[in-house]
Amino acid sequence: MSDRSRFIIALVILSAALVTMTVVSLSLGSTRVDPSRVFLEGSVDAVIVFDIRLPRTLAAIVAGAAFSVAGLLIQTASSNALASPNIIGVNSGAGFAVLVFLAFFPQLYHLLPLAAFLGALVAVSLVFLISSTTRRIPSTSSLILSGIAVNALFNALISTLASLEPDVMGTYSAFSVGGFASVGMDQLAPAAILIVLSIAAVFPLSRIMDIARLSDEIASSLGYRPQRIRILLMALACLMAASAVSFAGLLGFVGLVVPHVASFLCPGGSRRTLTLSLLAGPLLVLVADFLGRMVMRPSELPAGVFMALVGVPFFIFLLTRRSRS
Amino acid sequence: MIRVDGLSLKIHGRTLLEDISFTLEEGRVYALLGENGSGKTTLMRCLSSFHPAYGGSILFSDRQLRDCTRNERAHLHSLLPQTLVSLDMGVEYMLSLTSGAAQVLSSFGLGHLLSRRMDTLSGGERQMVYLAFALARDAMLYLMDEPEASLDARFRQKVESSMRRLADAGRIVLASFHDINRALAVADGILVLSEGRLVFSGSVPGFLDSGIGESVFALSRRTLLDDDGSPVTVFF
Repeated sequence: MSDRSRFIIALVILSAALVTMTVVSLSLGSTRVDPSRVFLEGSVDAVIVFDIRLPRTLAAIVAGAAFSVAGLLIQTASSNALASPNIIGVNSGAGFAVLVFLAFFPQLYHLLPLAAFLGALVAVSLVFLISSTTRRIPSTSSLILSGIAVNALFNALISTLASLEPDVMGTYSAFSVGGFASVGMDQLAPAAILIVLSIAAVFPLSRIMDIARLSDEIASSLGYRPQRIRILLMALACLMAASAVSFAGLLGFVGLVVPHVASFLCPGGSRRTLTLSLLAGPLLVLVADFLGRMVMRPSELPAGVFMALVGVPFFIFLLTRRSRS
Repeated sequence: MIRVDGLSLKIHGRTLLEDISFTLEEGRVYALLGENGSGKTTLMRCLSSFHPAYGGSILFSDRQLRDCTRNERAHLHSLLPQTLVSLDMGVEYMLSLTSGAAQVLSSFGLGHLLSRRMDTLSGGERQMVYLAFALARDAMLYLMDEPEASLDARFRQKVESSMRRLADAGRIVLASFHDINRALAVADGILVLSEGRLVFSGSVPGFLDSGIGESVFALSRRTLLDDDGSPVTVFF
């Protein structure tokens, strides 16, 4: 089968699955909803669907898109298949900034995405600074090692803050695993705007991303400055992942796994991988969120926990399939 | 004409190239020789804008390389790098990033590789795909870093004849070689680097007279007669 037909088949199946899953996520939950009453103004059914399930479903879609595209950008920019937002410090940096904000400036919650972005930027800059000074270790492993160090630092800061400010402790434990149980439209909207804009900015860069993947030397000989391309991709990745952290918490796994799923479905250029990641990421997060709230209802498992439970075995399956092929 | 004058490069306090000056003329193939670590790749990287922070001057015709815009740079040089990554990218897709590259690959008789993925190719096949990518571009200078490194005789011949075709079309080719004998067979001019310095730049007969082959590379040489009775110098 040609790469093009593989792509089209994957595109159709993923789109259909995403639409179906969106409808399912809106219609099913711990409470039964009567479809005939959903559009009656003021009915309980309308409140459940439009005020609770709609923001939650949208949040899962937006976060899934943001984390997976960010993962793809980071893997491209660092030429490292193991890199992802949580591994190079984006999540812990953004998470720390979000907690600082919640603890000290709770009234400014609409600025959370911005704070998360700054936190992520600080953490990622630290990671790159450290890895660029360790000349003796090959750059791919030094990036991961500095990521681990910076993550450990920010996680320690998060724990310190959580113990100094017991009020944020409750928020913190939900935040640290990632989930959508209490997302409202007012919290989602500013982050979603940033995410949509930054994803839109990525598509025109897909050819440059492919050239950067080939080789830095070829990119330079074509007149580009590969270092600048990498910094730009990293900054966009920080922006989208950090915005997503501001409402979804530290949902780590999506950014690592989805780009691999996308390139497994259709090996090829960044434009195709981007498109498939944009569908597979939201789908994975929606499924995790939906199953998380259905399996043990009326109580629920956060999406982050469920994603690891379902996603890790799936990821291992993909890895073994891939190494065999 | 490309004129390099007083080129030097320091990275992290280490001098990689020092005071290098030479001229390359249109319509010629130049071989860059030197032992491992002598600076061949670094010199090619300077000429292909990979190391922008060099000292001295690199003039393409009358334009300083460092003053050129992105678009201008893209038309000055095309590079076949030494390290070629193996991606999960289709060959056809990769070559579509430069127009005409697929036709160049087909002209090598390798059109059947178009439906393959980069990470399923052999080292030699991958080298030919990257070469097609480099050759499809329209540039003044074609830089090839060890283009024959992983090639068998059949592919090597295709590479060498495409170098000659480029030169015949008025372009400049600068290729690094490990095998001096291949370099002598292909090139019109020879450049030799040793520890970051240019120790020879001149014609093939000039190189043979200079004794550099023996002194820098510690090789012996013998002159043999080929089929039509003309002398051929062989280093071993």
